[in-house]
Amino acid sequence: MSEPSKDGPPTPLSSSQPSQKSMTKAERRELQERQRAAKAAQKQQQGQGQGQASSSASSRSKAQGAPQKKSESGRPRASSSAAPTSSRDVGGAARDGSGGIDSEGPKTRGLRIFSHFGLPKTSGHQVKGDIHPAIIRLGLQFSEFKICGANARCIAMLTAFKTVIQDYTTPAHNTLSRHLMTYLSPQISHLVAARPMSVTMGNAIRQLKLEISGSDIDLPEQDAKDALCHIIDNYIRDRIIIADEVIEDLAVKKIKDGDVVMTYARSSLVEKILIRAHALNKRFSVIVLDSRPLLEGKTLLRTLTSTTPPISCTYALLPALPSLIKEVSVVLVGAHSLHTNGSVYSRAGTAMVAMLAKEHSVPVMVCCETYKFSESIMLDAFGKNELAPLKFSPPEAPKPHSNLEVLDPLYDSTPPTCITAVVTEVGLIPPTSISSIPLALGKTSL
Amino acid sequence: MAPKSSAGKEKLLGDEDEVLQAVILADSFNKRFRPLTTRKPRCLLPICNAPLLDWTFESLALAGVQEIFVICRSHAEQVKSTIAESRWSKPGSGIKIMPIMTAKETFSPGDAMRDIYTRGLVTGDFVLVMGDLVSNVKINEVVKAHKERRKTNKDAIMTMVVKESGSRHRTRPTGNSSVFVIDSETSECLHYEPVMGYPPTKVAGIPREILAEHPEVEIRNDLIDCSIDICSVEVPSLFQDNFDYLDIRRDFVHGVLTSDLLMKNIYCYVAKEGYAARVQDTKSYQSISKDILSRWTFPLVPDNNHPAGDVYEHRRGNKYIAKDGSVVLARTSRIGNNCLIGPSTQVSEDVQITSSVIGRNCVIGSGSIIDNSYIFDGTIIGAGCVVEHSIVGAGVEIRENSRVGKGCLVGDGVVIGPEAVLERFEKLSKKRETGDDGEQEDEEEDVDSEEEEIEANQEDSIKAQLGSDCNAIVWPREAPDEDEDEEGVENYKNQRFLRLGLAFSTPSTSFFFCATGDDASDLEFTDEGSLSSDEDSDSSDEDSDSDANFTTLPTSSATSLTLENSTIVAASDAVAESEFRAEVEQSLERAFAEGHSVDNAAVELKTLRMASNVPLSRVRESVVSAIVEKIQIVEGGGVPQRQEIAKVINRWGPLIDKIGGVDAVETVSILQTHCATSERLPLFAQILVALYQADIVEEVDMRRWHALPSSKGAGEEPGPRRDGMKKCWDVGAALLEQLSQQESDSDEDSEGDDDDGDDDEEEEDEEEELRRGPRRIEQLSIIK
Amino acid sequence: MASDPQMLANQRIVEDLASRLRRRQVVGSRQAALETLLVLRQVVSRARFSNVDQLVDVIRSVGRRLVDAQPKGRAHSFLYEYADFNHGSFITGTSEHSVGNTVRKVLHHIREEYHTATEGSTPAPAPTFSIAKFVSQGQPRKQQTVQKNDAAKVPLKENDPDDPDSFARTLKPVLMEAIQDVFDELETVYDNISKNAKDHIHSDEIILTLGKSKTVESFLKAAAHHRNYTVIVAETAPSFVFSSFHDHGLTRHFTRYGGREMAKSLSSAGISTFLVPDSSIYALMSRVNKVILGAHAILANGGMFATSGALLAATAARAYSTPVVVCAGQFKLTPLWNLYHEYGALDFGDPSSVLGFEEGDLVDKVDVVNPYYDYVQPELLDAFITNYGDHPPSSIYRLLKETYDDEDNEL
Repeated sequence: MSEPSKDGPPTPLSSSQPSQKSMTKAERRELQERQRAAKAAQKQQQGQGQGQASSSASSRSKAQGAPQKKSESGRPRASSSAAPTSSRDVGGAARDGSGGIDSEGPKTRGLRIFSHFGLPKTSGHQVKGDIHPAIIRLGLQFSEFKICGANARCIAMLTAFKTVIQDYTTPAHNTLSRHLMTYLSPQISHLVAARPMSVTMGNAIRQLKLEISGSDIDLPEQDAKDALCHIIDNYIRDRIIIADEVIEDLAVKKIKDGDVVMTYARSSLVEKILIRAHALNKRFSVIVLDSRPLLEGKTLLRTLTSTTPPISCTYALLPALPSLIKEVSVVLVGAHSLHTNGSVYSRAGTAMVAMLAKEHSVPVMVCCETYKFSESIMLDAFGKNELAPLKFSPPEAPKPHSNLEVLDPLYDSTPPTCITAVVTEVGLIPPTSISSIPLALGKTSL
Repeated sequence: MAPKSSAGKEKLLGDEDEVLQAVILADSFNKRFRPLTTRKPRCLLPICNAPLLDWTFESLALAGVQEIFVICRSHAEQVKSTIAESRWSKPGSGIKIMPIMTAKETFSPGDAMRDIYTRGLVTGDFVLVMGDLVSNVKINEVVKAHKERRKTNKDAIMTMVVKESGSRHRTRPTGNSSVFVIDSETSECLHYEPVMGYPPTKVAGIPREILAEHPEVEIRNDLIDCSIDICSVEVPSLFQDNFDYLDIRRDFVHGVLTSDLLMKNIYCYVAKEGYAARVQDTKSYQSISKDILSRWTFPLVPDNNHPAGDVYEHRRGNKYIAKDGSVVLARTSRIGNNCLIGPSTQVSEDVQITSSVIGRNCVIGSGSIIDNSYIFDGTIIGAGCVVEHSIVGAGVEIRENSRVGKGCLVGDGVVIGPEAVLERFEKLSKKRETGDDGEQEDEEEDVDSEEEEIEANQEDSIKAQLGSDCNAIVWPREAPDEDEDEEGVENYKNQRFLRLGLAFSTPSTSFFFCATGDDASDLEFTDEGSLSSDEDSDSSDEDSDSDANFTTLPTSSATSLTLENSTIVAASDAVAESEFRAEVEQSLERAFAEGHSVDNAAVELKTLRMASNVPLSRVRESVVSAIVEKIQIVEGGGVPQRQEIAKVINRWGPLIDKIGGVDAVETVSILQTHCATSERLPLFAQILVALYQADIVEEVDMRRWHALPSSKGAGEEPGPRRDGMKKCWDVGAALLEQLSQQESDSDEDSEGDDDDGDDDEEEEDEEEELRRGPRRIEQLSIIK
Repeated sequence: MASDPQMLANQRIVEDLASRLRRRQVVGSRQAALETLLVLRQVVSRARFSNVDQLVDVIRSVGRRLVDAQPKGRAHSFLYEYADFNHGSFITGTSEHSVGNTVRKVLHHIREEYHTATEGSTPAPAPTFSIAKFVSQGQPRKQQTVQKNDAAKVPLKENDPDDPDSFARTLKPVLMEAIQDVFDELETVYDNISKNAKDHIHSDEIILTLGKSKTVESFLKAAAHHRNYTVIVAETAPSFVFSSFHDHGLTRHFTRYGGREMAKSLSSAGISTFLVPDSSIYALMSRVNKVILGAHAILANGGMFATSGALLAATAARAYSTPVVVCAGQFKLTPLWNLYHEYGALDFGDPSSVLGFEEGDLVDKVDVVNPYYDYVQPELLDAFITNYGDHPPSSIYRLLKETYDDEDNEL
């Protein structure tokens, strides 16, 4: 327990130190990891080559774990490695809040509950190990929410990996199939540090790993690399691009003339569907619901109204939902990920839209490619969530202080009971039966 | 009990400090709504089934105004009676309203203000609004701010309320908007620049001093001018002093801001929340109706606080149906979103109404389609008619199967059809029966005379179109020629931007009329105007940026800037120009004759310039020419001639620099251009020398002038003028030659050349920085 | 009678309040109630009547005027005989119910006082058993009334031909006191509601509340004296906060997110507070122990009008079977049955707080919806905490019957 004083960025650690006794096992493990990582980081700063190996080893061990588990443990580690200056926003406050108030019992309860939420990252977090520039750039784009949304992030990551792989050369006495992954791992963990990994990214990476380890050892390096890039391209094409087109075709069929389609926030897929339907001269109107923190709905609104003739749109914030739901004929929403128990993990607020839609027996269709499937059970969006960075909380919002926290969770999970159907590239299916689709499990590929 | 109840009263009627006065200019002083306004003043035109004036009253009441003066000119009687009948004159309305009938001779807001002054209506700070205002801005807060400011700064005479809207907003009149230059901290308005659709305003000129004096300025082209002004008592008196202020913005504000004499300042209040806009043309009529129906004016919405007191039921999709149950909607009729349907109106089967306003007691025949139109009370529309993007007056009868194209204005009581077809932007009014108009107001008469002449040239072709039993006369669609020399905003072509029935601007088409097949597209038009102004607004977004742009201005730029906007002015109001020229000459003659001191003469000129709002260069031009003309030509020239010249120059030369702003280069150019055509051409060299000796022109200036291509007569069509220019230039060259010889050291010369070089570069980056289209060359050529 | 200067004076103040209501310069149930009361007090003090019915009529007419002043107010009559025509219709919500309620309450009190003053001469109504009376035993105002009854033991004869004003003269003082009681009640409403806050909030609980309601605010703060708990405040967007009573509505200001105000004031009172966007209500609900809401108006069926977002929260709460508690002053009880739940409360604000006016091109193409209130069905609510004790939704009607006289339901 004397390490933290020795190394690692002091502030977060020292602040959370007193609370260790009252910490759960998991948290203690987290802390240790954090310290290990920090140590490794420092070693690298001292410029010892093997520092990288150790850190990459540690991250490899996690890399095998289920994606979102990794991302969880990944988060705090990154935050601690983040530059203590600017990165100490909401999350940071929450954490040392819990540390500080631990003495006066009850308050921490409230605080601790949220302390495990994904802490928002800032671009300020340091780069450790030899991270490929493409990845660094991507990391920035993630943490700045320049690239946002499950599909966009996954595609961006894979394309970045292609460049990484092309620039990669297998060191002596090593084979690509064995070493490439160890080389990629720090890249991945860098991205995770920038922003918690999305399920889609997790799945894609898992697939990639499979391919890498499976790649022929005798193959000349360049060929092997090309092969991998080709595989990546195929993945993007099959699992995302084409899948989207199929889904569009399916979903558009469900929009009839005179329909009122309600959607929440902005899903790239839903946007495409609506545009397509409009292109097919279906006469329908759209209700765009929106809410802080991201207010993505406005972006959707712009795209919808810039068509000719503009799609007739109604815009409202979430609380107005009850006044509007009556006139809605179908609800179309996107998803971040889809879980074994059929619950849909999506932009915060979706759950309430679905809930109220069910109340008024309005069909709720979730548009989601199968590669968003995650082999895990999600009971509520509490176990796993992520907070929006402070930059999204408007200036007039009160600044957090000892008694006041500002939390902007990004996701919530919609129970399967509120969902009529999930539109996937393999057809419209009930949410619970997603796990019975081999494609989703990656057992087969298109 | 007594104390208690009295305490209660205090509470109830609490927080009323001194009475807040407001003045409404109920007259539009223009003809944009003709023929709707031939029989009725504009302020009584209904918008969303309530007279504009009532909306204005309600807006003021909302802001806690207690005393209102209504200045009415045309149809004053009508206005007066309407006010008398309205609920405002009932007890408990809490507002005192006094209609003031001004003389028929008040032709402009300026005159009205002078009238206010002479009558001594206002006692303290007052709110000045137009009779067509719709707003829910808390004016009382603006007033508070204004009073605070007055405590510290006595010269803060006025606060203009402006509303952020983005540079392209349906409610922002494209043909008649304005650029405000505002100090970021003090929100003082430093400069005002009207922006017009035609001729397209390409550049906004910002006087150099502003940028020198103020560290941070916002140049904003994204504001709606609500023309709600909080004025101090001085304002009317200022109008009184400056007899020639006509428009409040273009003359008064511009005048006060540019004035070097009366050190007054004007402030802006950028309304963050709340809504305010003026129904100043048919286009804004439409957009404001839309705004009201989509509740931007809340709580001033039909279902909550309808100024005319009607009660409407608000339904899903912003449909407002009169709630007294008198409305008859056929089952098969379709009412789209954003519609208002007045009491006891009947809508028959299969009627489609989309985002329109239907007045009281109207009848819409079966199968008709009404789209984006505004139909006043008691109008009857036959079966199978189509009315789109038009305003149909009260008591109109449109017989069956007629078609009213976009942008039409149909005056009260017109009957057209059956099978009538109205082209786009047609204007109809009812044929006068004799003795139809009760009060014989003289301006009524001139209306009539106008109508007569219109009636005179009615081709039967049109009458055929208007169907058999039609009683309408068609107003000429092309502007009479004299409109052309109408000043700025009223210019016919510009008016086209302000017409109803044009599609609203979309981001894709930078100007709306490009999209519609409207005849306005024949105006040769470059995007530049919109572009540059947009960028203005951009740069206003972050001040740092605007700093970068403007604090690094080369000194010479400001003058050239003013020159440029003089191009606009020149284009727009030739009349004022010529008048001004005459004025200057007279005043100078007087000065010469009576031998005023130079300063007095200068002062006189300044006031003149402010009054008729012309750029500095004009003044200089006239002064120089006047002086030159003053020089008698002595036969045989020689010494006596030179003395003569010297005398004049020494006496009056200083005046050139006294008129404000010194630009010797320009002086020389003007001199040249003047001499080029006058018979004093031979004197050019001598005059130039004289100026040089009188230190009015430095050698450097002469070199610069000489370097200007335009001085060579570039861009001149060959002819005597060009030759003149050329001659002058050669003379100048010779002169410079001598000078450089006089100076023994030769590097002087090269330095001079350097100057030229620098100068040019300077100009280059000026231009990048300010994105000015035309170069100085054109500027000068334009002045001629 | 209208010619009478006093009547004119009355008319003026009534009109004044009416127009301020219409202009939304008086916002918020309590403020509206107080303003109404002030008007009534003046009216009564000026009114000239020789028997109680005349007085009642005068007050009723005033009430009607005030209610009709807010066109939405017509909802009252609307609820009962609403003639639907082919375009589908909804009940119109009302902007300020509390105006009508206050008038009803005053009428109720007047009758009460009248009966007590002339007991014997006219049979006083049989003292019915009442939850409210039972709960509010030993409240200060009860004692007062008791004393008053002794004080007002004056022989009182109506329609005295030779001195028509005698009736008024004798009755007025009592009436003024009665009105004063209502006034005091309004003044103290918050304290009385939060009297037993600590019984509802327990240590270590996590409470979810919406936007800014003064009642809830004082309730929570009161609880904070005894308990250590956490509050999650959803910044209900866009909600409006009304100015306090003394500065007149003129300085009405909309805050786009009332929750922010709330969070500020609660945290400054030392309560550990979380401010969350509306979108995350569902996500957090699984950890919430209790949802505490403010009401705009409590309806006879036990449902309520509340700031928009309330319905979402209540529904989410039910999904996790979290109890929903409503704090509201008794002046919010409204003898209305909301039969058409269709369109929320149908009071719609301006779009500006949803979509900025500066978004030029969007403004032109997009319809914006911004309702103030939700209608929350009784099934979603568990308890009402009023200054007349705590009640389940099912017994609201009873409370109504005791608070108002039936004949006043229709003003």
